[in-house]
Amino acid sequence: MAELLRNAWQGWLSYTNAGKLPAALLVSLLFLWIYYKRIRQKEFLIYTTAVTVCAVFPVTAAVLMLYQTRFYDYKWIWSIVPMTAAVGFAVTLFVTEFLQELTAGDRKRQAVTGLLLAAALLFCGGIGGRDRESYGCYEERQQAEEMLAELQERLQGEKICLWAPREILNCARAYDGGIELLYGRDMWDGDLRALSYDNYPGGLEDMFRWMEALPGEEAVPDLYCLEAAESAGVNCILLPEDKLPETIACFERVLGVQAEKAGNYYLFIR
Amino acid sequence: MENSFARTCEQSGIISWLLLLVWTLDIWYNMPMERQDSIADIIVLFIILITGAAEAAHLAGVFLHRPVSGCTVLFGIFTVSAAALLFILTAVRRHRGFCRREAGEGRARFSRKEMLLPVLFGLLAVSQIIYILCGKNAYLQGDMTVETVQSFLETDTVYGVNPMTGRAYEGGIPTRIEILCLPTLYAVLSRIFHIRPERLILQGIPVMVLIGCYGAYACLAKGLFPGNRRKQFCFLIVTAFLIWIGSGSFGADGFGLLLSGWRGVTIRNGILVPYAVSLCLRKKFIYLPLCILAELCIVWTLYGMGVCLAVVLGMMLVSLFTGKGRAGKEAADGGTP
Repeated sequence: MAELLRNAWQGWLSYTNAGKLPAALLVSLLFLWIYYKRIRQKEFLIYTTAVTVCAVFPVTAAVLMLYQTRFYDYKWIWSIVPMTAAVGFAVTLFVTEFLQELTAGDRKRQAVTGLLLAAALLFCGGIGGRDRESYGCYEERQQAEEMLAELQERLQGEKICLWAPREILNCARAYDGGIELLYGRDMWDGDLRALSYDNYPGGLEDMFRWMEALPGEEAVPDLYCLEAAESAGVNCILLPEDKLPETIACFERVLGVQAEKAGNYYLFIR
Repeated sequence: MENSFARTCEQSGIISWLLLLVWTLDIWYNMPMERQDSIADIIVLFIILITGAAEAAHLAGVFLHRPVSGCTVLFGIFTVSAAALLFILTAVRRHRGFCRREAGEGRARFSRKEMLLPVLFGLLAVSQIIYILCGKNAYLQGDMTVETVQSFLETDTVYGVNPMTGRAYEGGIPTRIEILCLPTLYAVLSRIFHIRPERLILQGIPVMVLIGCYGAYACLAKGLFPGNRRKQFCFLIVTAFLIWIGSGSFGADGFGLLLSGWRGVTIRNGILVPYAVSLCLRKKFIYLPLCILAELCIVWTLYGMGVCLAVVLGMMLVSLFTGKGRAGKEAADGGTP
């Protein structure tokens, strides 16, 4: 329970640092409560305020987290708060009612107040940002898809079982459901692993680390990975071009095929 | 023979959708103004209905081990049956004269000044649709819908292989995830319309969800500002701005709608929750169970009963405490956005 409470509190702190909308919601609720008497849909205001308070305070937030199950992060309890609707409601009232009724002098004061509020909003947490590390950027995806198309062309309709660097595997299954992989995106995407519920044997994790390691820094021998790939039925291997020449030579010797240069990779087809 | 039957069912699925659309427009046109569901309601209800048909087909795939091609046929049959049933109901209602529009009754026209508001809202919505259709901004971390749909289509089975690898499952998949219908819905749509799953999921579906979201917010606008079309459009414009603003923050409505519109949580937060709130405000309780059930079909809620139920209970509790059962009819549909 203590851990849940801590998560709830930490969740709120990180949530407010991921954009301005939570701050805008609090300002909107304050505005709506100040003009409570003029609001017709009081149920909506009371409900939104109540669930906002519940989502902010650690004890009630922990209860909400239990309701939505521990699988989901803190931020998802905010699904019960109609945030966009509440902010939209407040801004609409402000623009359509209160700005219309102001005299010229009031308008100046209101403009200054508005500017001050906007400035205050800027200090409420970060502006948000997206973590695109896992799936790669659009250009990277396009390059990977070009490489996969080339592989398909070379293998001429043969079933592909691929072992390649992460940036290629990222898109392989989305590009063609017929391509088999030793491990997929859930190997490095923690959220996906929680969702997919399938585990990888220890050997595959070693192979992933080997493939992503810098040249010469691999923790396991080349031969170990190669044999594991062979026994798993891999018929197509892509190695980054910066792998050491000894590694390439070892692969050529064991697989009995000549490495071909394909883009930024060495390609081995069996 | 079997293939041609399947193809006929697929085609009939498309036809039934069109019939359904005609039916909903017919219902809307023939209802008295005070009872009328708006186009916005119809868009949302249409999405919920499609979800229901997909869930039925999906469960057949999971528990009766039907292939995806069989699920497509079932999906066609369910939508045809739903359309047929609804047509019969409409015919009966019309026969009884239950919902005849009074002669000369019409909707108030927009003034020239007011026209600026829908135009501005339309521009914002179109800019968002273009942003989605660019296809460069999809956020796929923690999501494997595209791979799952590709696996369904490739193997013609529902959860036959691990979508991440295309190989047999090591440990299997839990039932609570297996019962969610969105991958089957997308696979079926991809099959029917012959669209690549990646394109359908990353571009087509998010556009539909965005339209559904504005449908839900239009209903909410009617609940919040009954009878005031100017305010309703202002609300929609502000909402469109907020969706743009939210696109930078993971977990915000804007982020889900513009960057991952195919996910169950986005459909829930963008369509079902605002629609449920609007139904509570407009006292249209009859559709509330549909929202709750639709959520259970698309989002893993585990042992909880989902967000829609919590929202509905919360709104009803507040209504009870404030003792204001007022404004139900008054708030219900006072004008159209």
